[in-house]
Amino acid sequence: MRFRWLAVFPVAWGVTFLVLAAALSGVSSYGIFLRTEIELVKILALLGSWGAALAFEKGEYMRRAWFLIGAAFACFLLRDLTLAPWGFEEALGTTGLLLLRGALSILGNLSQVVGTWMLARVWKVSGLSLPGQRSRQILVLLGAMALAAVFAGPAVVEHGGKVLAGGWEAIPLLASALGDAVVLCLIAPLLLTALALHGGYLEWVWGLLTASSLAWLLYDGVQVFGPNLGLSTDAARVASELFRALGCTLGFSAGVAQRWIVVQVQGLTRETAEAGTAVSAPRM
Amino acid sequence: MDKQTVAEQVAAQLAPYLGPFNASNAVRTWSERKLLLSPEDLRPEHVPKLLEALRPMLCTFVGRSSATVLVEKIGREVR
Repeated sequence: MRFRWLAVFPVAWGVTFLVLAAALSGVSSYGIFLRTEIELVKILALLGSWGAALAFEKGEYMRRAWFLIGAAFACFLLRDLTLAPWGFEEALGTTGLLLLRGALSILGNLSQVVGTWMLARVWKVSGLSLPGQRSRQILVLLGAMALAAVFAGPAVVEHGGKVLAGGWEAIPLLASALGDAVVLCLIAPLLLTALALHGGYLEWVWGLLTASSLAWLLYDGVQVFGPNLGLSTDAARVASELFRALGCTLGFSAGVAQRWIVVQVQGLTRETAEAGTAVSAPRM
Repeated sequence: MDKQTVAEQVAAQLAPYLGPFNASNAVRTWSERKLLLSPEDLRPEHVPKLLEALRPMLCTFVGRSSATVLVEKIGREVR
């Protein structure tokens, strides 16, 4: 039952964000509101991922995967920290600061891609059977690749062109766009894993991860198609921040779900050992 | 009421975590692969070996220590 709250939480966050964004639009503190909200959702994503990682023991596959996802958000938060007017530019110089931000962005995207890839191939590592025929699985993968090409492809082409023309400052943006494209392709195995685990508590983890990736897909989609949909600059900004918030909070919920399951199994078995009798399936 | 087979009992214990589809599939796959038996032919004495075969999958999803206690619990309860 309490797993449902993990799905409700991102929606409640999104609705609250929209209400506050509408109320504060045009107010001088609007920029501070947006920046605070962005950092809060990244902190949540970091906490959820590392909370899940720490539920596993050292050296375990899932610990590494969740740790890498959290490390990505740690890099993004550190990069954002350099935007604060705390003398970073004076200390590092303009070029040094750009290099630091670029390195953090590239590291963060790399970490997110590897972590998500590990979570997306857990079915193979564990020996799980994916549902449906092989041909249908390939169709789902091709569908995800097509969506990734449509939503993340334009940014890859744009920033790739700049880098090829010698614009090295576009490298972090290209890394981000490439990272998005790969992560969006991984929606297919994440979704198939969620379907394979249907009816089990673990379905929540991969279901929420799939929903998070879909939110990131829409985040990219607003940036690419926003102007064509007639969205004003402000509306497009609010929409993209909404999807960023959903991507991060759904990722947070997935991490919490993973932690709850591991802890629940430990609690269930401790309970059994203490009672010396059989216990029923855990109440969630 | 018919008594559940050993395979059904193990799958029922795994289903809350892995889901019914994957739980029965895992029992079928590992009993055929490691014990060379169909799930219908599994008897209580086969359970320890079956659980050892299932352990790596459980370790991946819930971690080593949780998998160990879950395997022990199933071993105790399946008759």
